[in-house]
Amino acid sequence: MFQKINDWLQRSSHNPSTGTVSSKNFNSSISSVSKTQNSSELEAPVISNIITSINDLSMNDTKSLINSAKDSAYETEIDVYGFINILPYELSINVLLQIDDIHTINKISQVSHKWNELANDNTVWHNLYEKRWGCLPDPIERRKIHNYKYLYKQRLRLNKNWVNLDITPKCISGHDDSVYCVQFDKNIIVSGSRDKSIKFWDIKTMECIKVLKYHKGSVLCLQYNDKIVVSGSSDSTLIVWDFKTGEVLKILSGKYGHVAPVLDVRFNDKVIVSCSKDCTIKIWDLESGNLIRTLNGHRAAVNAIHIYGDEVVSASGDCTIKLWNINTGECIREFIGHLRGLACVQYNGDIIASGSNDHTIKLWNAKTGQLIRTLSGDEGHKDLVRTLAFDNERIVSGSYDQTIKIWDIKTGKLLKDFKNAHGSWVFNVQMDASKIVSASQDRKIAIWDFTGDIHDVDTFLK
Amino acid sequence: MVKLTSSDGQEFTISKEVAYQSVLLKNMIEDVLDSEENPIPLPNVSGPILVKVIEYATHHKDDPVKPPVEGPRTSEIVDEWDKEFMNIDQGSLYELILAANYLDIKDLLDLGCKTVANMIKGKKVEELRKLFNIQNDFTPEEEEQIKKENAWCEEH
Repeated sequence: MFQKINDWLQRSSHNPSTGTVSSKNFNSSISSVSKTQNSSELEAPVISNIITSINDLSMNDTKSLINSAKDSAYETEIDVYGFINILPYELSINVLLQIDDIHTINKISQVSHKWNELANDNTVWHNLYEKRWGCLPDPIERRKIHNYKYLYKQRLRLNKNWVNLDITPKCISGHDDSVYCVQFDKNIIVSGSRDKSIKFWDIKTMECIKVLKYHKGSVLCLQYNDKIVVSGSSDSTLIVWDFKTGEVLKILSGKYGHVAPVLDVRFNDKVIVSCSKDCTIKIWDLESGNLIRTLNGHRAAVNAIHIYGDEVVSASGDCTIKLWNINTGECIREFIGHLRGLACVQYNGDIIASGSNDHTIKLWNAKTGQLIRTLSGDEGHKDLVRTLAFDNERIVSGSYDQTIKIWDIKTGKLLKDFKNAHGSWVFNVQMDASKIVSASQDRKIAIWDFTGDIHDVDTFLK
Repeated sequence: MVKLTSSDGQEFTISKEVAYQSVLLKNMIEDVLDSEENPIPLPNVSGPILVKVIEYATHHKDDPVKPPVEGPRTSEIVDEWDKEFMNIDQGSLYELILAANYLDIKDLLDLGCKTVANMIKGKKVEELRKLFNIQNDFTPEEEEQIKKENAWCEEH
């Protein structure tokens, strides 16, 4: 029986949570630590005693400890280096993975050669990068092997450009009327206009590459992925288009459809959610196009929505924001504080940002309903905040006062103010790691690119 | 009940519930044997450390299964009991981390690593050397070089 158990122990000492700690090295390291502990009385609670006990390790013990580490070159050294020599390399890395600021990692790199090696491990920097900015948005980039310390540094330089770089926008003038909505990725911009068309633009050459026409009214809102484009119009319908061919796949309207202009639309892999001037929010099955349910509760037009997971947040002319469960249709929470109607909203699972006709932007804690901050005052917008977008670093807002402003999301500080960004009302802003794309009543689409002299920016883009 | 023997020959009897906090023990009990009669030898865990592990596993045996953590992990230890439990000397702390890794108790492993991370945070380089008893093996030139290379970390 004993033999059987021992065999089993040998076979199963691979640990899934820390990668591969080989059983042999591992056993040798732990037994020697135990031995040290026993010989110097484990009960002694004073740190200095333990340090002494570690120093008291005999040459052999030290060697076996060192063997447990990754690099056999350690064998020649006698000094004992805290946890780094006692824990196997993978576990020392696990300690560093708990640290989320680069200042501490920088300090660690200056302690000694071994600490420096740990502090430069790509796993550590990959973790630091993702803790700050999330994983790379492009799945192809995500699968590649990157030097994450380099990427972290480039991303910080790019961040500085958002504050320091003087830029002039590049403009696309190609619609025959107001441009209401845009979305973009590293290759294209898709825009919707009062001229009833949806146009695709090459983001580098700024040439029109495709036109979708079927709506009988203005295209007020849209979202696309690599398969479909979904658009909402003042003709009260939604159209689902084939992204590649531009073919109309479905029209969401009829008896159960909206009875007034469709003001905003978002979809995920299961449902399309739309909101309308008719005061309702509708949830449609993405696959079939059938209406699943209608959310009633707002007492004025629902001007904007955003979805995250199974939740949808809505902003209405009735001065309120509501958070709903998509699956049950239940209203989870209400956010009250804006003095006039709302025009725009975005939600990331924790924070809701909203813009209003009271000229302010408000940030809310989505879990508690509490107001976190109001962006207003002398530096703030002087008219309706029509559109906003935010990420972990900043909020970009566009207003009927014709400005586009960039705010630090953590401090609320105004970082940049593009006065007369457009010749008329700003209807939409969208952002990624390197740029803002805006749409306006002046019929233009503007690209504000902060790339500057930074290489490999495409790695950060979708 | 499950019987365990530590490296120094101490025998412990614990409930299956407590033992199942360890993925290693759970798999062993399910795959290999009924340990009511035959104690499971743990040649890599000393008695005093096994006492700590059992204390932890007993305290957390009724915890609900946590959903996978979304978003950034931080080293902040929220649970007051955990904080107090980790108030131990460095040597025992490392032994506990090794035991948690060996027994495959993920939460205890993370707690141990967080505790070491918190010891590191906010310290100056010289303080780190002192706390962890490390000799500075850099030449002044190397030190200067590293500072220069990493200067961008401090600009932000």
